[in-house]
Amino acid sequence: MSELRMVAAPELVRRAADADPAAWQELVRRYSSVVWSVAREYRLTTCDAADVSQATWLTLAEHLGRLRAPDRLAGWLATTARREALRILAVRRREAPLEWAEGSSIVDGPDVAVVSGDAEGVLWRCLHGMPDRCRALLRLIAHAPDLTYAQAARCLGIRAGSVGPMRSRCLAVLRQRLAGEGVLR
Amino acid sequence: MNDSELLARLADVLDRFDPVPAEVEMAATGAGRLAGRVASTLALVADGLPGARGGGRLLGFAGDGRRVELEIESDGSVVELTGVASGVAELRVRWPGGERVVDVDSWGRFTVAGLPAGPLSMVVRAPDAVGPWFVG
Repeated sequence: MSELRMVAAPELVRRAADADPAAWQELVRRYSSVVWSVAREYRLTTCDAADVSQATWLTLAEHLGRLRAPDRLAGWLATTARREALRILAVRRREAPLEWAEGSSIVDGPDVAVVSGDAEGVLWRCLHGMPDRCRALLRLIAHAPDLTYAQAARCLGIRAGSVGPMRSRCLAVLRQRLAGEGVLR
Repeated sequence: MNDSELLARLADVLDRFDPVPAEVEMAATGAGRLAGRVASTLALVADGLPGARGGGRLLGFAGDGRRVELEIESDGSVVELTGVASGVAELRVRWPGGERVVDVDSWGRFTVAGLPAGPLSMVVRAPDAVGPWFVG
């Protein structure tokens, strides 16, 4: 199993399409956090995010033989998850207009106030306090560092030319906040 | 700490405080059951939000002269689909753990209740296609 960790994504895609369960499992291991992160960034509940994730993987399973660029699988997964998340988000907004009008969050993720006070806990809190777009960008590129700017832009719904400057700006803000907490010198 | 080191730490933090739930990872693994199958040729051609008139979300799928339109009613745990299909010999609805044949009346109308919430997919079988007569 572990030698699969060295195999490139296009080869894993080819093997998975040939009904190799170990190759599929390796794809899931490598990319499930990207898909999950995208779903979570749209402020979906755990339950809706789980559905988005599952729909994304089901779609991939039936598209394995038709991916135009298997080397850019992370981008394909993130874009597919985003499309599904936006659909669910639109439906939920229609279902619960009052809740959304008041700006309340329906995220039932970890409670920011009670996470641990170690360096990682501080980093998590700092990330949580960032503007939505920054947090979404940082989360995406943290889990999928190989995304091209064009792919990241598609996933985030921004212009490709904005990704570079936004990445620098958001990282600078994060560093500033970490320094303020005494975590980063 | 350079940018890539910071981002790597961020990835660790995300995995610790908002990890992919085990059941989500299991569901992703389970999706591999479909790996390599021929994907459907029905495309999503319409996606209407729940209407102001109180109806549910409306979806339309089409391809190769086949068409399925349906309305989704969900209470969060059980889903009901009501719709109309055309150019279809047999209609089925599937979900990650199973599938069911949908009864379609002579007008193409159908209702199927008691479906599990979560990802669903319509499967159609078109009427048999026959070739022209020829003399052997």
